[in-house]
Amino acid sequence: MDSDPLIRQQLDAELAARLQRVTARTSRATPPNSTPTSRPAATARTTSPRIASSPPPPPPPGAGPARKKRRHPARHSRSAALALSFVTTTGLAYAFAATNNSASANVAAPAGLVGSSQPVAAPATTAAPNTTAPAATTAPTTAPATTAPATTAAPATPTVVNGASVRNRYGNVQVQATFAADGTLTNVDVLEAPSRDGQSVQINNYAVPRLNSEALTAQSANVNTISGATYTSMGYAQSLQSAIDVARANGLTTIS
Amino acid sequence: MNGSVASLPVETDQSGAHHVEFVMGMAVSIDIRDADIPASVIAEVVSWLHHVDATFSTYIDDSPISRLGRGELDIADASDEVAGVLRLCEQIRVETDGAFDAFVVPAPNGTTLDPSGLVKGWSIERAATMLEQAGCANFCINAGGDIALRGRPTEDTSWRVGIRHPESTHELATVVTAFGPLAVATSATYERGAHIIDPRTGQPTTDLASATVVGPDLTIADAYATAMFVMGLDGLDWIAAHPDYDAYMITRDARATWTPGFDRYRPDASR
Repeated sequence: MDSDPLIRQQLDAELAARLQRVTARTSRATPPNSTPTSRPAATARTTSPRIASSPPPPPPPGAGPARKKRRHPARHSRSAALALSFVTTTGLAYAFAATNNSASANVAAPAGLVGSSQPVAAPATTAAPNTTAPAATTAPTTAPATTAPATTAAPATPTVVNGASVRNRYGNVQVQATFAADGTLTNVDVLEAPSRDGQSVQINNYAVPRLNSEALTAQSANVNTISGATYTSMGYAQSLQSAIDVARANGLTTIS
Repeated sequence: MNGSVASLPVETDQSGAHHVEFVMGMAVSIDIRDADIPASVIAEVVSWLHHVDATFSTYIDDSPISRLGRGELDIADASDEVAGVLRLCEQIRVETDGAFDAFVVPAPNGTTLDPSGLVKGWSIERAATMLEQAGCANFCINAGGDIALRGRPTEDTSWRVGIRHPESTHELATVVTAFGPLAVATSATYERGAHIIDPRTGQPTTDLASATVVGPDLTIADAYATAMFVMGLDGLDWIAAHPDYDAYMITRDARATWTPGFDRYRPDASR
């Protein structure tokens, strides 16, 4: 990874120093005269394993699943989305404000972007929330909207509601939510986002799409494999991945 | 080597080869779609995974990693393999500002040296290279949810990876489609009693149910997924600055949030 010998040298020196701290901590934790039974390793096997030498024994036949109580995820998610939709978009704007504050430390401002102002103002349609383009690609908006009265469209058509304009340390943030006739939140657009300098533009590029989050809805689809923790053999036995493996061993290429 | 190795038999035929190996405390599924692959190819990978376990396990008292952690082995005397992995850990520690740190969190062996958050991905990325060198072009290796993908499952389909729903083992939150070689890694704590410690505070993380990272290299994706889990939603801004890597996070209240680039892996996302 590092062909530069000087960088390699510095890296190795830092690595050696870290390892020294590790061994110092370890020798403090386990004094030389400690008995073998006091070794932390003996008890630590029950904690969450990332890498283990031997798999735990397979579950006994008839062993119940780890989770006793299971909600119906789809129903839960739908009601969550609905509930969220009636909370005013102000909440989203506040979330966004917090987002920007936390993002500031990580983002550098490329000189070329300084001065360009690119708040997101995608038209409020029924498009899926995550299809909103990143801030940099949309047309600039100049209207410095202040506070926001809710605007309501004709009945039985999508309702568009503007959230209050919320000020954070980078400027004002205002979002616009679109609700379907049945009250489902179908889209969130950012009407106003801070863009006073290059740093803010950068933050917008990364942070604005964060508003395009969704309440989870459980999906079932043809897949070949599953990502998600199955750290233990027990977990594996109950996993969708094990079902896929069985299906695959029987010559099937996907499951649904 | 591990004495109690459980595994399913290797199945090889016209549709490829398939094998599940229990190693490193988890199930590793190897699914090769190239026809007429000799069983020895899989045997070689399986042997590699057991070697990695014996070398890097924090559950084995005399593994080189355990001995390094106790100061019984000097880094200068460690194998290039071990030194190389620890260098990578140190680089990613610096890069993630300590959100990934293999040198401070208590490990099962009583030391605070635990590169597990990178070793799993690293070993599977290596395994993928081994398969490629053996002539395999279409395969999927899944090590406890960390996945290396190459080629296609069938001539007219792409690999599709389900991201587990945090509240149900049998349902998916979303599906990632691989249009080329791809690594997918998920860090999560929805299994009972599991937790991930924030190396910066020593406290368990609380914000996320899972963090998935996709990108070209599983070594990096695995370590980033651990770091993303620790960073929480702030991690999205961090990883968005890495054009090759994207993240998809699920919060404890079952909401999903992702980087803009993640959508390129979901052409058929239905919402």
